Amino acid sequence: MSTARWNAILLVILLLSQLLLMSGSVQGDDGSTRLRGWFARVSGPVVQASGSAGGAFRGALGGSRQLFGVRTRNRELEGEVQRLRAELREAREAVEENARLRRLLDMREQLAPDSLGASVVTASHAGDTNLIVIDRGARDGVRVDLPVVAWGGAVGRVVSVDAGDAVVRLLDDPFSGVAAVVQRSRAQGVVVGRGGTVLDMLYVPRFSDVLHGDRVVTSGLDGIFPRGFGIGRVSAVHEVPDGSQRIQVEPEVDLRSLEEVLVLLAPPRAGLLDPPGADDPA
Amino acid sequence: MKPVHLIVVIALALAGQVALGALWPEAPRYVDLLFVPTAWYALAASQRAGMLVGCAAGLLQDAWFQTDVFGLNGFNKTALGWALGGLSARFDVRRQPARFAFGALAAIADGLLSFGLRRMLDQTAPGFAYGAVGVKALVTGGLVVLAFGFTRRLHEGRSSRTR
Repeated sequence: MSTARWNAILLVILLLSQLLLMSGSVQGDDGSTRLRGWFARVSGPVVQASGSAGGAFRGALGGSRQLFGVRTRNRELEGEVQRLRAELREAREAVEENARLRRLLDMREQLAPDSLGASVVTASHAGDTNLIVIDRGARDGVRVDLPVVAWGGAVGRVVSVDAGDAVVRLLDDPFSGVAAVVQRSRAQGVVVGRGGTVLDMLYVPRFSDVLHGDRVVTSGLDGIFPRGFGIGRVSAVHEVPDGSQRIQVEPEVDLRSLEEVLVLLAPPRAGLLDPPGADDPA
Repeated sequence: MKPVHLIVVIALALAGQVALGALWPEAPRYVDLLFVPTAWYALAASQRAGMLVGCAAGLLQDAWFQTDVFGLNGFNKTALGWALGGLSARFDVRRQPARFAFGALAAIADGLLSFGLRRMLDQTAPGFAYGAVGVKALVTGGLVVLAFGFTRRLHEGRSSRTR
């Protein structure tokens, strides 16, 4: 390498060194040395670019982490929603059950003080045998042939008893029969089940005054049901060849959705009783 | 270029500058004795010698007089030593007017460089002092001529003693 080139290199080195000395000895308004200011100015774009890249990377990383957190949170919230929905369903069930029990309690207090509340354990609605099983038995004082009622009227009677449960034959069972009377005209008959959702009232004299919509209640003549418990309303009247009328009765109680019932342990107060809230069209 | 000579010359120049400043405080505005060895070595010896002497003399000046921007005189004298050394290789500097001119031009360049560097470093500069720089250029040119005359005399005296 030539002397001139060496001199140029040496010159550059010396000048740069002294520039560094100068810049290091001069302070700016903010107290930082000029050297630092120059370095910051030169390295600024690089630092900014790397900062932006790092920020983007951190943002992406944070975003994915946040997304993961959001997904996890979403799963937790979905689980929470499911749990709350189940709780809401249970609460609604409890409210409905509470209302049913309250009505049953009212009925018990007003109509049948000496009665026993029971829950339906199982039900059989096969048509030829319409039965329910309740969670009260001989241990609770339940006996065969005790009447069973629910909010709105008669349900059936006990046909067999075990220690802790009992079987109740519903009014719509083909083998059930209840002495009944048309509340308005006092026309008497027997309500029997047909296995379907409609009951038949038999043995009503041809000239008895029975109209569509008349209310049919228990007459108490069968020795099982006290009188006055609602059975249903007349939905159709047919004449039969033996000189009587066959009356179709729509049950007042929805026998297919029973949940709580009352077992009447002793006959209630004397007299024709109307269930609370029952309206009489007559 | 012997290092001892170099140190002695620079030390003498510094001593003269200090003495001059003590006698006349305004002297440094018009006279820079430390520039004389720089110009002499650059014109008489080599570009590298001028550069190194300028660097040493300038830094010594900065350190001794505690210049507001440390390295300013070192930077100027290094660059001017290099420039004068390069010019001496291209022009005939054996004549006194040429030496005077180069010395004067170097002093003006020194003033311009100082002014520019101070501006670049955001230092408050009271503006370019044309008068002071002009006087300084004349003084420096004369001092360079004197330095060459002195060294020639010295060399001649030594040669006659040797004969």
